[in-house]
Amino acid sequence: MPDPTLADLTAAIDRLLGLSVARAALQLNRNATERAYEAYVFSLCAAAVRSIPGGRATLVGVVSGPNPATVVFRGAPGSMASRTQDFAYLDCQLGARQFEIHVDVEYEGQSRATHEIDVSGCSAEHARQVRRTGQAPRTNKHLLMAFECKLYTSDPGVALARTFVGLVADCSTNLLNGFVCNRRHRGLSRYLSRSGAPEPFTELSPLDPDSETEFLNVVKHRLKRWSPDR
Amino acid sequence: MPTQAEWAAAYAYLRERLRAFELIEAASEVEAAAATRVVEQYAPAYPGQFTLTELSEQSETVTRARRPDEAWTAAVTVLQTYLVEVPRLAARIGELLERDPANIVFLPDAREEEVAEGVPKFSLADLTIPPAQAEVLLSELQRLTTSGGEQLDARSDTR
Repeated sequence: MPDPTLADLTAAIDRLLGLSVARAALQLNRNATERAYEAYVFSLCAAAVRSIPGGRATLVGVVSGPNPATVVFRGAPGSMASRTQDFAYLDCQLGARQFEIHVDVEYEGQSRATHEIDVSGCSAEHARQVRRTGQAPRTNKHLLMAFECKLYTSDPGVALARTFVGLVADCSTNLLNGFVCNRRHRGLSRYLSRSGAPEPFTELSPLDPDSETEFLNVVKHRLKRWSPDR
Repeated sequence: MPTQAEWAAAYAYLRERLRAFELIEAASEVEAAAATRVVEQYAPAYPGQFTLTELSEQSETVTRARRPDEAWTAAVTVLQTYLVEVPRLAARIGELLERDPANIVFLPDAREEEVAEGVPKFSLADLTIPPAQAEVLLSELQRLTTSGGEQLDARSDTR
């Protein structure tokens, strides 16, 4: 194809923005796309659990119970115990191990500071207790997995990863802490290659099936190691 | 290949059209992406030239503002994220959770709704694009990336 001229480029802009579907998609609230990316990581966690022989992951509405017709996610970080909407979580089982996976829940760290964790796995017993008492879950031994999720539209910097490193430092040791985003960047990869840093998943996108496979394999591997008696 | 002045004009035209259509948030994202600095490794100008580390204790990393062609590529990447990646994301969540995207919703905590300004209320159907329209979009986007996109990605050493 020949190189475009300036006239070609401006005409292409006019054609693209002349499409109502393009304008509608470009009007999306940034928060909406961020929330969707978190739900994507949550959905992949469900797939990872289900792909382990004997693994079960059931969607549960906190009000309506198993398999809700409409899956409700939080539009912003909030309380795990909230029942003001039928917020969904995954009820998971691997052999004798029971745990839950949540999206956008606030935890209390070891320091007692409050942290928002985009996608988290915690023991089912602890989550049930939280729902009974209304208290915040803790990032102690009951927290199994924590993922920071970010849909970047351009080159990512290290600012968010730096914040997540701080959050992880306020948690007890767990199965997996992951920094998940859709774009790779040398600076970010280098920052996350330091010892003790969260595991980097820096190109996870539905446009790249291999990136999904890699993410699924790591989550599966950690869960299988944690639950050898399935 | 357009000159740098032409890439700058194309970029300015894109910004202007986004704002004319009141796509303010998208225009801001495009501007932020274009303003992101490029991080490069310092390269000696000729074989045998001293490196920065050899000369002093300086880093081998150099940062600089984007050239107009690189700003254009960054801007088009923002458009691709919204027009291709986000719709695919919405559809993929539906597949993984075995639900119609219309039945996957995001809501504010009702207790906090009155003060939760800016918390989005939407279903994944709002993010999806029907396949036929997605193809048209993709084809139009490809016209924006032709000759610019991939070559520029390889040139700008940001990955």
